[in-house]
Amino acid sequence: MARSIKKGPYIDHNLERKVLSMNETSKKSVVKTWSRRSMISPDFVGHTFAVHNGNKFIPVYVTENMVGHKLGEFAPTRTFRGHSEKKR
Amino acid sequence: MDYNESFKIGYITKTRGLKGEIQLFFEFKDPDLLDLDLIFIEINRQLVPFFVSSYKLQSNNTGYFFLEDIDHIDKAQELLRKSVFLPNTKMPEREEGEFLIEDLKGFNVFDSNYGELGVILEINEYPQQFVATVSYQSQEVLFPLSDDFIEEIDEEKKELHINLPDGLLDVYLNQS
Repeated sequence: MARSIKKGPYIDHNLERKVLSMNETSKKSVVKTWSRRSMISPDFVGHTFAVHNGNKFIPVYVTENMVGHKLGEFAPTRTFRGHSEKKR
Repeated sequence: MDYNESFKIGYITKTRGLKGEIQLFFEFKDPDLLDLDLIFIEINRQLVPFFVSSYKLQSNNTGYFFLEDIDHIDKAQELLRKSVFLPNTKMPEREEGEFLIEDLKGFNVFDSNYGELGVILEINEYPQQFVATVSYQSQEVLFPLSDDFIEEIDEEKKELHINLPDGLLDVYLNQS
């Protein structure tokens, strides 16, 4: 058995607790998080997370095809805007 | 040619060889659709026309161009990092009724709870979603352009009516 399978997915406890409590009350408010390493579980679907990218919070609306990925994958830390033209 | 009569397609990144060939990086999404016989290069804030002798498009949003009168690397190097434009008349025609998510830039956003949020300043493509940026109460506010939040798009009035999830504005307005 691969080590990663044995260990199971990692989800930040506070984040998971917030999502589960929202699911119980059928409430959907935005959850602010710095936990980019948390895996998106099926419970997260339909919720919006404000994921910090080191500079600002990126809103991530979780859909079914994001399950199994990490939150950080949807809030890139770098943006390539092309090489700027030299100003004279 | 005036800037209002043109649109930017990219910029010149580097030269290739000694015969004045240049590489153009396209910021325009579909360079295959462009008519590239005549391009305008911005030199000293003026759009200078250049006839294209030959060009070859690459798969990575670039293309190699030979321009008339640019027959030596020294001449080509003077064009490095210059922006390249085409006249608006050469803008590829769209299919009737075609509406792209990037067209929402400049639309006024109205939220069902907070009212007018402002004009969309920027639309960025993130993995799996598009995110719009507005300036609300002097703060940069980002929101996902998901079908679940969009209530109505009024193309004539340039208005976007949305229903943002609870607490999204607080994330940006309560930043210390």
